[in-house]
Amino acid sequence: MKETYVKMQERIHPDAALIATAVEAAAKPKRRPILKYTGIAAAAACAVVVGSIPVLAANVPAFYDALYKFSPATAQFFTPVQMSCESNGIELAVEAIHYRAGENGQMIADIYLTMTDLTGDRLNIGTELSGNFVFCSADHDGASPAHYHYRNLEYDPETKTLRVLIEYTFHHKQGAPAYGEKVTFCMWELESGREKTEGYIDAVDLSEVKLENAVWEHEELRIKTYGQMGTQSAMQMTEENAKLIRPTMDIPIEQDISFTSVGYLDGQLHVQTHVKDTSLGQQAQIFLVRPDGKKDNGWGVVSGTTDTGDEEQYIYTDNIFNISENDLRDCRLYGIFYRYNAIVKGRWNVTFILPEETE
Amino acid sequence: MHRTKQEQEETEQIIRQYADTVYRLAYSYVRNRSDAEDIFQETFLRYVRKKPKFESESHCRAWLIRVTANCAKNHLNTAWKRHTVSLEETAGAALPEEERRLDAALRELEPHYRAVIHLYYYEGYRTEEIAKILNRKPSTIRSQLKRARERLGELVKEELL
Repeated sequence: MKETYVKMQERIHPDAALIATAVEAAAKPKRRPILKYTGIAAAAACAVVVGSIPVLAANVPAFYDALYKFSPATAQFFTPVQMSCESNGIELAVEAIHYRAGENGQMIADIYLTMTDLTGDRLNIGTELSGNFVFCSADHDGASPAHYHYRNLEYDPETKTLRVLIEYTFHHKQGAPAYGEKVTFCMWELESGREKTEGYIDAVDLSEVKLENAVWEHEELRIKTYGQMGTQSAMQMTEENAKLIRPTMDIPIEQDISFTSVGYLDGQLHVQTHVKDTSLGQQAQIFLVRPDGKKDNGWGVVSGTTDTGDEEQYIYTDNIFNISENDLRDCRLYGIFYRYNAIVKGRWNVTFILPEETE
Repeated sequence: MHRTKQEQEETEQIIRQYADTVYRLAYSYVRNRSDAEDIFQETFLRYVRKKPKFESESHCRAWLIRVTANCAKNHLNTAWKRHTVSLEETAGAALPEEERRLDAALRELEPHYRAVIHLYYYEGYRTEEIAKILNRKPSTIRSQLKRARERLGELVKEELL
């Protein structure tokens, strides 16, 4: 049976399109890939079959997403060229497109975009777009995924305009760029002013950590796990058996971040932090610094999360360490904290035609 | 935190390297392309979100297999289930008779038995390793494998009749 089974399995492969979709989705991890058929997608599919897609509907983001999943070529056909758009008080515009040859002979389109804050001061030279945009084209059959590299060029505080360059390396089926092809740039979030602070945290006395503590049972929390592999404990931790320690304190360590528990569960040290507000991307990394100066970031992380629509908010996070009570007394806690000054959400879609190459 | 270009390249490499592994295990659970594709995407989405650190390739493979199994089980528990489809329809080619019979028998087997068969005969894991990956007792895996073989034998005989 084994030989027959192996032969059968060798016939089974994922489509190149499926792999490419996964790779592209990985480049924008905050969003699920546009994969599953939903009510909107079903309506889009029906509209394609009937042949009655109004141009305006194709310009509606939700409908465009669903239609693009069903048929990229159809979505791009019906999407009108639109070189600028505005969302949440920020105007995005395509400024220019130039071509050049890459190091390996591939064609790269340098796409210059501008973003102007019409209502506030949310942009600056440190504004981040990475992971928050994607290019959509009719040729997106997955066989030839595009690669792009983004960087900020300049910020003008007088006009509150940020100018960015996205180097778009695309691979047409025949190895040549698709001049005249309609491409849509979709963006959904901007992050500005990323700050990092770090330092020792001596607010908790590690010499008085309790060995017996209660597991936190909370009906509103959903457990997620982040395992660090290579340890027996991490291999055995699953979403079903992962535990959070019950909060027993509220010691502020950074703006919007507190220690809420430090103690042992099942012989492992849990150091719990609570991020009260994640609207600015607040995050905390906790380490144990041993007497020799070595930083131990633990073998696992368990977070309690509540769903708020599409966003998951990881509210309570246990960093788990394998350390004895005796060794713990000589350690210190160390934290690295991140936040942004502003996170601006919106939906910016600009559609342009890749111009003919000029000599 | 943002993914650097290096991180993106490493992620892409992982996806491409283990695409067959994840897809074939997903397919062994659901026996149709559509559901296998959903499980495939969900598995790598979890990988991207959780960004686990691996000490070796074997740990990476085991982690992806476990997540695939979990995603497959979640998928099978949803109300909407597609029917299994013959491998001939999936592969788009006529199968040799022996493979056709085994494929038909596998489609009749319970999904968790199919997964154990797959991990044992195709991925080459020992029962203790399968137990660790799927978070089950070794004795459970051994009895599932034994039962799966017996059941497949019965089903293949029925196909011959």
